[in-house]
Amino acid sequence: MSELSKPRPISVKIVIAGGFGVGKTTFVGAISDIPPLTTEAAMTSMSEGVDNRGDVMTKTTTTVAMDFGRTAIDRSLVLYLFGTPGQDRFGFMWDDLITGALGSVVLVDSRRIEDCFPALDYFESRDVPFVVAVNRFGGSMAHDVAEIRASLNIDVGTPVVTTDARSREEVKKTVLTLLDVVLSKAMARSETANTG
Amino acid sequence: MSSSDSYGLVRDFLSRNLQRADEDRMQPAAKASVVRSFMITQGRTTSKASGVGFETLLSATTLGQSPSTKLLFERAEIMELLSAQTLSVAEVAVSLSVPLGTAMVLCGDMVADELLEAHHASSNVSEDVPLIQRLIQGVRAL
Repeated sequence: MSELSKPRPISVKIVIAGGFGVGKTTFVGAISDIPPLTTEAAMTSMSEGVDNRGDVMTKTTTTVAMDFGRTAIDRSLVLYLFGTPGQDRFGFMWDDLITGALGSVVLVDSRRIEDCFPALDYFESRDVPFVVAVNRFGGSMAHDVAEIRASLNIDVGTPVVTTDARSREEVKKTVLTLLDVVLSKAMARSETANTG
Repeated sequence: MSSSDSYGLVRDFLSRNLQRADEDRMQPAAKASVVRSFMITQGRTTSKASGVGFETLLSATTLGQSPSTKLLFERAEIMELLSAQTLSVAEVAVSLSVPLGTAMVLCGDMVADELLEAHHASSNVSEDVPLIQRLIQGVRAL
């Protein structure tokens, strides 16, 4: 194939959000072609008391790690998954993150459901399509899906599913659940555009 | 401190390897580069080109690869990196060991100067039904 007839590669992005230690990097790695890479994004202020994971108490930094993976979908389409901690302290970075993003998977640890609230608030206010995925960590959950949905108080149209961030098949299924939401939103929008 | 010492210290990120991700790892401040991000970007937090995001794929243009184009430091590194391959802004950030925001400014400027080409998807991917359907098919087939 000549250089000219080669289709230009394009990329799409999905954001994996959730609290610290919920399994975002594992989730990203489960369908990435490369081991997840990490980069840093500047934070506006010291994170003490915000990033509390219990076992990580010392905060001597003003940057936060952002992990991502890449998956070749076909010859000219690349899917990027960005995993980022869900805090409201670095909102400016989130704006960059969701610009051009198709949607988000909000990962939830059933023992610490409240960790995902900032992410939910953020995506709801920006009208970003998202699904809530409860990471089972391969074990039992502290609350079932119905209880978790009730406590989140989210739109009935937003799926709440369980997943296992270590399993490629489970992660694929979760991403597909999100893409179904993204697709129906896109179709509704293009219909509105055509009739209006 | 000799000048060669300080040069090595300042440019230590040039020799750093790609960093593997570790769940929510925090960077200790002591490892940070002596060159502050705002110096690399000349104090700016936005680039000359709009629409360049973390995931935007970039490749070198003919102008960028022209021998008459002289680039320094990070810009030269970016050009070398993207001469042979197409990578996203995020991957450029990892290779150069600079924060994402810095890579966005550098790459956006180089796109505006026509040294790099940004391969954009459609202007609004969230309304691009054929693209989303293609993505769904692709993920199913993974």
